[in-house]
Amino acid sequence: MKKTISINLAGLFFHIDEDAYKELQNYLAAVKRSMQNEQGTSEIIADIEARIAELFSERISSSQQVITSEIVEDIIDIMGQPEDYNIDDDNNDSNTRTDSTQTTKRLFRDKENAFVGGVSAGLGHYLGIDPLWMRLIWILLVFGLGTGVLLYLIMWILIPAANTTAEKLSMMGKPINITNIEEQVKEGFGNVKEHLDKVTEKVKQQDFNALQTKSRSFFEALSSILSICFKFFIKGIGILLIISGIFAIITTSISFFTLGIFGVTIPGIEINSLLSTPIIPLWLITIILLIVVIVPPLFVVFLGLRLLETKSTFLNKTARISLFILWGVALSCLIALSLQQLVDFNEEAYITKVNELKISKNDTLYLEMSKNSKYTKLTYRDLFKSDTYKVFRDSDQNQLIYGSNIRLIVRSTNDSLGTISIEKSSLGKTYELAKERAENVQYGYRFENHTLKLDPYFTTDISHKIRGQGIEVIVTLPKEAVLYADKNTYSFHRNYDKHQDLLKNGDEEHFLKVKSNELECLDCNKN
Amino acid sequence: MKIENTKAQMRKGVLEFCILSVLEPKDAYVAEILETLKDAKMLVVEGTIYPLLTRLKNSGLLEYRWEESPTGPPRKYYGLTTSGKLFLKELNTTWDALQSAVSVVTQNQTKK
Repeated sequence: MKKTISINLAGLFFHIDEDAYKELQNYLAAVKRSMQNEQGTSEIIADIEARIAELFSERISSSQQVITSEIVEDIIDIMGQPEDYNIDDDNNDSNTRTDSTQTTKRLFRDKENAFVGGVSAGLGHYLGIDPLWMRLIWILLVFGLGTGVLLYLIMWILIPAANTTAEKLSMMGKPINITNIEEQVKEGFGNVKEHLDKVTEKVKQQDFNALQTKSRSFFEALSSILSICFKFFIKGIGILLIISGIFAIITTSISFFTLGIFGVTIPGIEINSLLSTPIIPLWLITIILLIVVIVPPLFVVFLGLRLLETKSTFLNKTARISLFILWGVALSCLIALSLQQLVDFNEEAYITKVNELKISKNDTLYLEMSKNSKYTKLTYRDLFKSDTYKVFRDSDQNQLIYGSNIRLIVRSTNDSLGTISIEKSSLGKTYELAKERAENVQYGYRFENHTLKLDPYFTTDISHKIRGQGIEVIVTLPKEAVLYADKNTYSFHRNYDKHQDLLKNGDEEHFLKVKSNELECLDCNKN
Repeated sequence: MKIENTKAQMRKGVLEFCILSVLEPKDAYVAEILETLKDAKMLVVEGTIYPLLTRLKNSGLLEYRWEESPTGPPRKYYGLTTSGKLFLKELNTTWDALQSAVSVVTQNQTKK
């Protein structure tokens, strides 16, 4: 919806959009200014207005009753730029003047000399070089990881084709050089001046004296130069945004596609085992995730196009709003899901079971992790690696979670016999759930012939999910007993001081006598 | 010296001559003059013509009368004055002379 203004142009009545009105007003003012030296300016302006009115009435129909800015731009194309009205060459240096039939050079696609889309031919005109060189660069870029293809497509879309005679002329127009840049600066500052003139006219109807005008022109020129630099900078950022946005879209699409092929699995862990309650199906979660990651780069591309000031229809307003809403919904879903997951890690429960270990004074305990396991992969503990938990199928095809999160601690006791305590722990939404989970952790060891064989893994059914289950094995030995730990226990008793573990890493495969606060090595080199 | 400037100046120099020639057989309003000039590719944008017409009129070579239009605003029909006709006749001879002079010069150049 737009506001319209009624205008009287050469005695005819028109409805015109507000922005189109401003455009037309600026145009007529600029035309007037460019003919300052001409006699009878008001008569010429009246003729021009009559012609514009005529062109307007040709374009008005029952379905198109309002003059839009497109129509105004169309008419400016027909009528020509303000400097085209200036036919006086006498007063000006002909070297720096803009000639009447050609405006400054613009970048268009040259369809008449096109190989593919005319981008190279157009760039050739614009940069004043043979299009052959441009084509050569494209071919080189295609070999450079195909960036050429992408860049070419972007330029094909963004650069308009030269269709009208005027466009063709401005495509082939003057090459870019200092004189033209100077002209552009002058033109730009003319516009600023015009604008300032209007403002000051409104504020007070008073002429500026020569000094004021002089100082003003200097700052106008300066601001114009700055604004041109700024424009180039902005366009560069725009191109950068478009390229990075498209790159992000492509990479995320590829990664989701490959995830889709492998049935959405993260190596070792199926997503199902991670999710607390599958209230929504997995494919929906995937889609939500996809929306969350792919919408932002789309907007980045849109922003880039905006910065380039193209009138592209890449994302219209409705599409933008609905995409944004969709993204918001998807994001809140994801946050809700994550919170739900977090709640599942709320409470912690421990179950401890202590058994006697028939080791008394002067006995020797051989401690090792059992080796006769099918699951040979889990023979060491590393909490920083992703394979602390794994999902396997047992011989009955039941899915089981295997964990290697086992901590071994050796302590001394004043009792005459040793003990072994197995502490199972787990997390859950409530204490009861956590406790139930801990109870369902299966862990075993064997003790025979003074040898304690600990399983290097625990198991639990997949239905219990991976919720930080862990095992702590505390072996206590009476004083004066001897401990011999196998090398394979190394990773399981990598403990901090707070765990009060007497068995230090590096003491494996030695006979160690238990003292109240340490283990004394019996067969170590004193050095 | 730039080729575009020279080209534009050449075209501009003969534009007044062309306008007068268009109006020689019959009176016309701006859109008609423009159509003829655009068809001949003498003109790219319309803007240039308005100051020229006013200048020719102010020099007394052209005169105009108002006529109602069935669709748009009233039209200015331009026609040649007596001095305009004389002016055009003189321009015609100048043009012929110029044309033959130019062709003699350029053809001589190509023969060498």
